[in-house]
Amino acid sequence: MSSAPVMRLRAIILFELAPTLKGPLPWAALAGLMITVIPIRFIMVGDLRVNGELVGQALRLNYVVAIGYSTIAFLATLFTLCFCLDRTGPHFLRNNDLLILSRAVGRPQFYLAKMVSVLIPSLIYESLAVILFWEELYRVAGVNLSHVFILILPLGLSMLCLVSLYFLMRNFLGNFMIFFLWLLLLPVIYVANLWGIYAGVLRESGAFAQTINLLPQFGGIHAWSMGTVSDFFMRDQSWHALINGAVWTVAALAAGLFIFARKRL
Amino acid sequence: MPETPGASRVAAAIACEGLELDYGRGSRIGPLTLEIGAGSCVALVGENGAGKSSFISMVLGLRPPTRGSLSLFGEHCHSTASRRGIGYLQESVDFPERARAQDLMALHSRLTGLDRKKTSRELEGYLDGFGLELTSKPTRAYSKGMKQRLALAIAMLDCKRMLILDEPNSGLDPVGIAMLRAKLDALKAEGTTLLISTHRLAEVMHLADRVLVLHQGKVAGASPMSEFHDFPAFEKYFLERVK
Repeated sequence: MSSAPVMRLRAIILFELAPTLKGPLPWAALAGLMITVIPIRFIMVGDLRVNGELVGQALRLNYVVAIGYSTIAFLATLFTLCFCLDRTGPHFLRNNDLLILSRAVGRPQFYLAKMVSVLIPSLIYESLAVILFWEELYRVAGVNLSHVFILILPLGLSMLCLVSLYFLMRNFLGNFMIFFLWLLLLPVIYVANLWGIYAGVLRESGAFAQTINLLPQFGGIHAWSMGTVSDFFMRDQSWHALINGAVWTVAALAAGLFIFARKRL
Repeated sequence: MPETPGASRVAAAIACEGLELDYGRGSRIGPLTLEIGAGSCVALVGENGAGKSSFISMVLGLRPPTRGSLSLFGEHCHSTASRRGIGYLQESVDFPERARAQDLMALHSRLTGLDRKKTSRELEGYLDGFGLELTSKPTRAYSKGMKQRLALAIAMLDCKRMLILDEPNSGLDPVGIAMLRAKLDALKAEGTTLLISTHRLAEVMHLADRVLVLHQGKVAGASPMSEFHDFPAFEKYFLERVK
């Protein structure tokens, strides 16, 4: 790619990133990080008893990883959806966006620049959350759980998959429709995947189980991620979810670019 | 190829042949076969829904034509390079609410490849020429007229080859209209092709070299403006073509 298209791409990304930095969303996102430190303070400090029995640190750490990573994944997903909502809001493909497209900017470059402007703050946020989680665990309990940094990669894949699907859907549906559809759909996919992996239910054949397994396995990626931090959570087949997530991402990107290039603006 | 009278066949700014855009359910624009010569000033007029904005969208590559060919300065309209040096003002002007004038100017300066430092230095003077001040106010605090002035400033950032304006006077006060007229006169003198889509016939009569009347998606009339000795004659010509 010659320098002029790269300059144009960078200009669009910078412009799209500006409202993310200025608006209330980053402050809300940063405030949300407080939630990640609460389980560490409750579970890792002092004595913890279950049914009157003292719980050892190894088991406590598992609780913290499960609750902490789930909180990070939940917050990252929520704020990524909010970033998508903001970047593809009422101005999407109207006014300034059309002016941009009329200025010798190719549609694929525009589409990808918009996506990148969502992914950059999303990845920064995830990384901050993981760093805070590691720092709090180290400071409060003296546990150096450096494995948690691996979580940035699968979480990044989940967000890339989510954003690719969001932008693909934006070619057909209204912004709020997609937002609420994901808010409703994601917990179902998550819970069904996690039950399938940990409890063994929903793994058997059946229309519902088969359909859920065909959908992006966000819950499966979640399970694999926790397995990288603690063997307690590792399940043999959970890596399949990474392949599933990557396939969905590539398919959603390819379909989104194809449809957007032909879309009537 | 039939052409708008007076258009140059040597270097057509816009040349289309059999250009059509289907909306489905039997609704369509075209077929349009016309040429707009480089350096000319053409008024594109027609009723609401005549297809003026759709034609402009096809010219700008925002809507791919269903059939036919369209070229800009000899280059196929599908190539993004064909749109370089073409400024555009939309009919409905609105900007991202939190963006400031300088953010938008910086974006479009970079998109047009203008020198960023030079643009920053000259930005204040440039905006002043459109009656705008460099403030930290976001565009949501702008009046309709200020948004229109800002949109004109953005459109004229890079319009070396052609400037396409869709209802340019919308929301402008008399001072703004006079400012716009002066800027368009200057661009015309520099040889920039002007395509002005408007409902206000009187305002383009003294500026345009020729008029192109669209009616129900087709060219209903094309005539040099010099054929009309006064506004009633121009208005009568228009009304007869859209009956």
